[in-house]
Amino acid sequence: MLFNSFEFLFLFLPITLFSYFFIVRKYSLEYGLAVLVFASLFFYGFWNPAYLPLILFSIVFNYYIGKRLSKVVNNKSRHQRSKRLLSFGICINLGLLGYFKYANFFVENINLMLTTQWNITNIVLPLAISFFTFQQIAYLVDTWKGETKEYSFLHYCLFVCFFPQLIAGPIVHHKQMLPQFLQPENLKPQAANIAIGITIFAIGLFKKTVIADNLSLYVSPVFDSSNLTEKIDFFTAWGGALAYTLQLYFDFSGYSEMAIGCARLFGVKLPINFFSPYKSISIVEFWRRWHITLSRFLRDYLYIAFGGNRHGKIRRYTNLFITMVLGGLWHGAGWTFIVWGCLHGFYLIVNHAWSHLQKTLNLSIQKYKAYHLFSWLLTLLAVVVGWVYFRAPTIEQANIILFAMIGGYGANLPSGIHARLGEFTHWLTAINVGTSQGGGKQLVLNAVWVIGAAIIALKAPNVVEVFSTKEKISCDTTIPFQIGHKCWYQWDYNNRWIAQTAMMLIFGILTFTQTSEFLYFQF
Amino acid sequence: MNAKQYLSKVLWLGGCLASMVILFNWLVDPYLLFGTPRISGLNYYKADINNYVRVTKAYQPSKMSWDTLIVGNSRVEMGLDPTHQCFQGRQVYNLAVPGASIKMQLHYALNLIYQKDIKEIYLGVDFTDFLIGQVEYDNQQKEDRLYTVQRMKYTKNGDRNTIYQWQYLIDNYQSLFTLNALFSSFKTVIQQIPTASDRTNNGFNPARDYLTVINTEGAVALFSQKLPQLDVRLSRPTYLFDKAGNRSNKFDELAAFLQITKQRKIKINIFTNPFHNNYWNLINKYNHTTNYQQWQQMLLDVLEVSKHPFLAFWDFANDRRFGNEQPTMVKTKGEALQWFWEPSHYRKSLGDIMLNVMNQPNCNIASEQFGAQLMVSS
Repeated sequence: MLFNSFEFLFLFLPITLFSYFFIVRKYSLEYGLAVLVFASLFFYGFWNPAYLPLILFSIVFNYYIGKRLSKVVNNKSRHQRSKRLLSFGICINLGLLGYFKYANFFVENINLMLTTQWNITNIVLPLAISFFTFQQIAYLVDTWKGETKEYSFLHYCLFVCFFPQLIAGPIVHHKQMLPQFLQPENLKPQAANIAIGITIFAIGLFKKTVIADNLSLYVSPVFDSSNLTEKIDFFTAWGGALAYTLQLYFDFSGYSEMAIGCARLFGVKLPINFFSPYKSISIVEFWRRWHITLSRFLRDYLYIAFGGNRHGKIRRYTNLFITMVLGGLWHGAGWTFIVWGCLHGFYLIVNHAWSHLQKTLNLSIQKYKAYHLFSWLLTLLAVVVGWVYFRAPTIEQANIILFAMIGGYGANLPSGIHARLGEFTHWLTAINVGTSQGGGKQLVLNAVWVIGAAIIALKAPNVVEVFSTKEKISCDTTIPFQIGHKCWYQWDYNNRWIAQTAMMLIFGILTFTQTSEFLYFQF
Repeated sequence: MNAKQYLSKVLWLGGCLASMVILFNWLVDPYLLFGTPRISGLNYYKADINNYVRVTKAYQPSKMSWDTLIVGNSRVEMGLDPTHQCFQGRQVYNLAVPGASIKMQLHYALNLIYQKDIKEIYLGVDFTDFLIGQVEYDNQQKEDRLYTVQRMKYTKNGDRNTIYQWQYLIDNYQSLFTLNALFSSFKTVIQQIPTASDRTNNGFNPARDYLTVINTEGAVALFSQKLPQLDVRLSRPTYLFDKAGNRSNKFDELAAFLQITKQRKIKINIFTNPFHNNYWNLINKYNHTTNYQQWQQMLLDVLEVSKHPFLAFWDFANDRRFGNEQPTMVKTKGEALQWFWEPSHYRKSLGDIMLNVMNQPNCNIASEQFGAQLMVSS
């Protein structure tokens, strides 16, 4: 079931919300939580009930391992045993993920390398497997470290499958979420929670359905065309690449905000996932602002587990690179994702090396605005190049698009635009901008949507900033950013926010007959 | 203000906004679904209708009374004007659907035949609409019933389409309360200029949007845009017979249609659409000439077998006297060709001559010679 659908917004969500609080009030919290678990499994199974046994197995298995771990973890004599148990748990989780997500990719590449003809049945990727697997691995590790424990199967089920964050995150820690259900003030519906939840949901809905879905119209013709070289030119390639850059951000941050909004209706504060990432002036900063819960997972459970920065610079850079490659592979079984991971690993190494050089040489160029502007442009360019690999179906296709972006296939403007430029056309001809067929409506609309979305991504406040004075929307209190406190955009119980919320909700609902899935569902 | 007041105001304002969107879309009626009066400067020209003509023509003609239908594809939609002088005293609707297969064109016509007292039909046929592609060539399905379009009230056999009401609701909802409809309404209001896209209330496409291109880029731009598209289309492998030797099932669709019109004593004028000579050059380039002749003969066979007592067949395609104009012969900008917009779409000026010819001797208008009536022995 999609957040941006009639059945979710007008049936599932109100019925679940009402049932939960009714049962909690009438019977007990445990029964209420059972209702939420049942609703969440229904929400998950709505796509394809065949996925349910796998998630149920994963929950039961990890609950059992977690329970065993929490029993032996405090006993020093059993340390080795707990380590084996943890390794076993992680192996089974990764094994399942590997089978469902990477088996086809693995066999295809073995066949290519060895020119063999091995064949396995085309395995369908179960929805959200990457998210619930990583969340549970984090739980096992946290349990092994003694940082969390769970003795109630029902509570554990809810931690894994709470419907707002089940499909595509935010990835949460066990200790972050469960205690919130048990807080006395969350046992009955709070008007403030509902008001804040609906507002955040409306912002996310608008970002996804109005901005991201309209940008998607200009992405597919560039990235999904089978015979690209014949028609792709400089402007088309940039139009597609920038549209995708913004589409992905608005799609995924929109989803995350809808999830945060939904959870808030139940009194649960989920961690934020995005903090205006395209405002970043370095790749390091970008990864602190983009998909924050995944970045944190990669840092805590991969980078630090590999040794982090504890064994010198070379090891640090190697760990960084490996972490990013695995992060790329986490997104999908394909060489394009690996290239994307490699690129970001490389970017991060260069970024860290440059920071080190600045310190060593005592360069104080950070005070110059031009340096900030250059850093921002360079960061954005690096990110856009990465997204081309991330989105393209093959590396070859990505290379073609990038080659077009540097003008390799020429630059053409449609004749309709040329005809309206008057004397300016001579100047265009002088710089080798040719003419192509067509009125140019698509190109103009592409530019309008990209510019409009870019202004919002770069200039508009994010939800954390919007709610920073009135209400902390996140339970993650370690956001390392300067949060603006300008009063004009601060959320409050006022008429401006009533109008904005109502408008965003209605605009979102207006798109419900053209529903589209979220991009991150495929990961 | 507290949270409860905030929530109730959001809901109240949301309801008001939703109502305003519905009212605005109904008032502008960008797809001609609700019959809202056309108001000059507000919604007179339906500037965003081009992509929604199939929806419009599924419902709009049902709401009025017609006795004559013009059926075909976009060529017919732009060429034959229902207000032509020869149609005086008759209620004519141009039901031609752009980009529709012959199956769909005929189903749209049947849908109205079952609802209205239709006396006469003008059916424009195109060689390319009867060809089958590679997939059908390899495995052509013999269909015993016409393809049913969901939004048609009746199926081929005149039975009520059971999902029609549901589809009608969906289409009305989408025309009143979607972002696309809202964008279309805004576009309609903003583009109230004589060169905006439009459809008249009787289904005709005046093709005034072509004038925008002609004014800014010249007729040559329309030709150079269209010719490569036609080139790609005609270069694809297409067939009149499948691998097993059966003729294209599109002839069967036409045959079935003729039987229904025969039973209902509907007079039918079938005609081939004229092409610009550049189009003919492409037909020759891809060696479709023999196929074309064969198609025409097969068409004649179907018409003869139908033994339809009120049937006339006109061939305008083979008369090439109006197809010689070249876009380079007119001014660079601002002037259209006299007879053709571009290689595949003829103008109303040529359509008027075709209607004059087809309506002789009943229509008392002097006309240039064009085309020929081929005899069908019925």
